[in-house]
Amino acid sequence: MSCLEPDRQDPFGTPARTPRMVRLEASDLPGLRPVACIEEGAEVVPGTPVMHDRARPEIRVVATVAGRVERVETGLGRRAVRVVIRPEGRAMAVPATAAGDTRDVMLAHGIWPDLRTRPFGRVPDPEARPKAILVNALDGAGVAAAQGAPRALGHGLRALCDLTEGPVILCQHGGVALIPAEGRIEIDTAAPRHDGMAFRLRRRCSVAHGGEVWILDVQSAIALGRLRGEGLFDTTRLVEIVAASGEVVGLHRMALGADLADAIEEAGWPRPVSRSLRRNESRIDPRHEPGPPSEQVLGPIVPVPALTATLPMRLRAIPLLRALQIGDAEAARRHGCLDLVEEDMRAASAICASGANYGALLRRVLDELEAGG
Amino acid sequence: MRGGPVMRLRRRAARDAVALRLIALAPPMALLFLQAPGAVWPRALAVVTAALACAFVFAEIRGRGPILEVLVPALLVMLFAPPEAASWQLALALSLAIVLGALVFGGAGFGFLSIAALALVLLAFSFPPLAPVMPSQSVIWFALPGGLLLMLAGLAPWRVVLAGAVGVVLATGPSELDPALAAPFAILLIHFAADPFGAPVTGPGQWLSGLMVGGLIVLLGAPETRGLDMSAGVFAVLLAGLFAPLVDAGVIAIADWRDGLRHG
Repeated sequence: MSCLEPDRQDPFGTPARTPRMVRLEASDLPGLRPVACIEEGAEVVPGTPVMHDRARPEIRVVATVAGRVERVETGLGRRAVRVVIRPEGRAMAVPATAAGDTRDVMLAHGIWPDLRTRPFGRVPDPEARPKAILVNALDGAGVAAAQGAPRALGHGLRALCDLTEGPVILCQHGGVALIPAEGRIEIDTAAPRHDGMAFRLRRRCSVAHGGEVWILDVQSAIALGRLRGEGLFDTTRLVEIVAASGEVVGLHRMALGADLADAIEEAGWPRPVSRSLRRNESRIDPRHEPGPPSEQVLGPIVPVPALTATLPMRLRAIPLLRALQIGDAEAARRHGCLDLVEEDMRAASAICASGANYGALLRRVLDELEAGG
Repeated sequence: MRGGPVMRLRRRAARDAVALRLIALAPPMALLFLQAPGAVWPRALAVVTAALACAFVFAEIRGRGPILEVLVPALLVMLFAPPEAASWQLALALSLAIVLGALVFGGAGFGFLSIAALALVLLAFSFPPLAPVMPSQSVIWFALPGGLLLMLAGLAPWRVVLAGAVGVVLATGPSELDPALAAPFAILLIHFAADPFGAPVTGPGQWLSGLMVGGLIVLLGAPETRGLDMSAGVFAVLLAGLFAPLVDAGVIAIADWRDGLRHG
């Protein structure tokens, strides 16, 4: 029995909420050129393909709820922007066949776009083989989900071993291991104060000098495990809603793409925000919401230890931030920027007095390095 | 934000750098005013006006601020300038230092020298008898809590301060050390050598820079001077500051070379 069935009391709260609307965003697929493969007014069930990559159609986005496609928004050259679905009923796990190898299962059920590469933070090429896969169980919602489904997590991690010759590393913040290590499955339970996936990557298998590592959120690994182990397709994720004070005020189960307006209103955010649950998101924090783009001139970097501590050790933080500010891609590469993606720079942007959005600056530099090969 | 008060202070340090540095200098300045109000007011008016005027003019030209950073070197110049220096001489030296050491590079924080040390060196060069001096013992003691605050906040790199002390000990010899000089040395190292914008930013670079400052203070000090030779101190800081970018570049080059060896 799935914990998503409506009347079941699962250990981490109520069943999945029924969203007003589900918006599946093409911007959740970095590095791809998605096109819509469904028409407005069509009926969908969880697993119905709604978008796919133009160059590699096997990479697809699937509907996460049953309902009717209300809008298909496209941009230049038929490029999909988003698919909006009006749900009919609550999101829940549905029986599904999980035939084929892990790669086929992930591609067929739209879990593949949850993977991200380091370097560059793109959806990986299905033909590639990474040197390791890191599974992110650092957030509270991810840990709660893993504690509620240890068998599915085990199935998921074992399935991920098919994608790489190297280790599959479950990264968690201290405490008891969420599942026991076995074979190529390793558990990284280091618990430093300032930590994130960039720290684990830097310590365990840096890509600053070559190679590729994939990152997957633990809830996506659980969804894969549920498919392989229980034959259930689960499109919902646990998500923490944070108040403006920084306190976690809600833990909800929601379908990917679900409209978050009601949950945000309940959390008492100072201003209403219209957004949906994005891929790999498990914490909605008003302090991390992107503000309007700023045209202000950047101030100087005050090199304090707190700023250095926001980035992984042995990564030359201040020279890297200076290189990012002036857009010196080659210097940034030498200082280790290939181990980072935008979300790793949030703390640096918050602490630094220069007013720089280092996430955006890093993306510019990564794009330049990727284009230059 | 989570964490104790020290952690919160360290997280806020970059954004509140100017306020913290001014707070650190407030007690010794207050004592200076109390000790000789008649002599201090005109000098304070001159240096603060000159510093703000320079910063304001450049801010207007560039269309960007803020301008209050220049108050930090202004207060340091007031503390360490010789009493016989005229107000206009201080204002001139400070203006030149602010323009040449910071504003031509884009403003405070974009340069690579301690502006206060540069101002005191320019004063000594331009008007030879006017060498910088250590303020009275009581003023120094009043400056120590502020120095501690800067080190706690991370605005004065502790490696530079510690390495500077080691450099002095090594250059002098442990038997020659005068414990009474510990406080003046600490103030010099914290406010000048460990300037957040003048010191290197790499860990090994900070150790090297501190050792260089400590060694040079002893090496450049006049033998006949009793106590700490402040002229030698600011010259040592300026010299180490000139080498700081080179030291950082060297440390990074060595690290890159080692990475290259490790990863082929």
